[in-house]
Amino acid sequence: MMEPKQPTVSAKPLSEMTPQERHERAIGVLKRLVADKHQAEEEMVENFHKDPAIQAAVAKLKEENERRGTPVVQL
Amino acid sequence: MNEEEPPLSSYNFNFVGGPRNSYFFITLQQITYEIQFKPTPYLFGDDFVLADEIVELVIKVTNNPTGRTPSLDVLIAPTVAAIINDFYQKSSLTITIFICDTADRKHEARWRKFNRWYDHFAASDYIRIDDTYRDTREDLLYHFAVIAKNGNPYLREVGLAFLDFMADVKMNK
Repeated sequence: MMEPKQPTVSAKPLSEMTPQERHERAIGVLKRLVADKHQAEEEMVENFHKDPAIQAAVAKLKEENERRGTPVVQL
Repeated sequence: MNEEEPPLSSYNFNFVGGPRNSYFFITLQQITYEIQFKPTPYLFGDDFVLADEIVELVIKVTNNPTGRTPSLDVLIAPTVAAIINDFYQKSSLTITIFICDTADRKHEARWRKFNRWYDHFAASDYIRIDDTYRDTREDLLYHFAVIAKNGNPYLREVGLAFLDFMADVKMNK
């Protein structure tokens, strides 16, 4: 599973940034967070259908649920 | 719990792990959900003391053989809560962030869902900080939540880093 690239943000420590630099960094991080989340959601659907490790894990979960007779557990 | 609520139960789930700490569960309608705790070390800057403990909570329907939009399922909220609890048992220093944006105009529904999941926590064991940011230029609203365990020895640093981040975001407003 490929990890998304890290956002391009200044390598300068926050404590050394000007307020404007901090603002620009924060907005960049915010937009990156949202973009990464949307990308992750797309990859989750893709990987469900093509990642053998995920298919095996889901098959195992289905088998376990069938053996138990239900996917529900009492807490 | 009020009298109309169902018995306390949830769906069976499994932890697959991987770089994004994936969990899966399957509902009675055979709909498969994946929950990820996606590492997000850059959020508060590389020098943040718990940078490697920051994860973003992502929840997605990955397989829906019904072909219809999943209807309200009362077992999903306790399942999500049980999974979050399970993840915190593996790593109690975890800092979870949840963000929802307005890009597809379904953000309020997602935020309400997130609040339902959170309500199923043993909330006294966790601290949660919320904030919102309205991007007037793009007409978008972002909801944020940060969750950490009460026993996290860096709670003060987490809170301050989040407030600093949101202050930086909102500067010039």
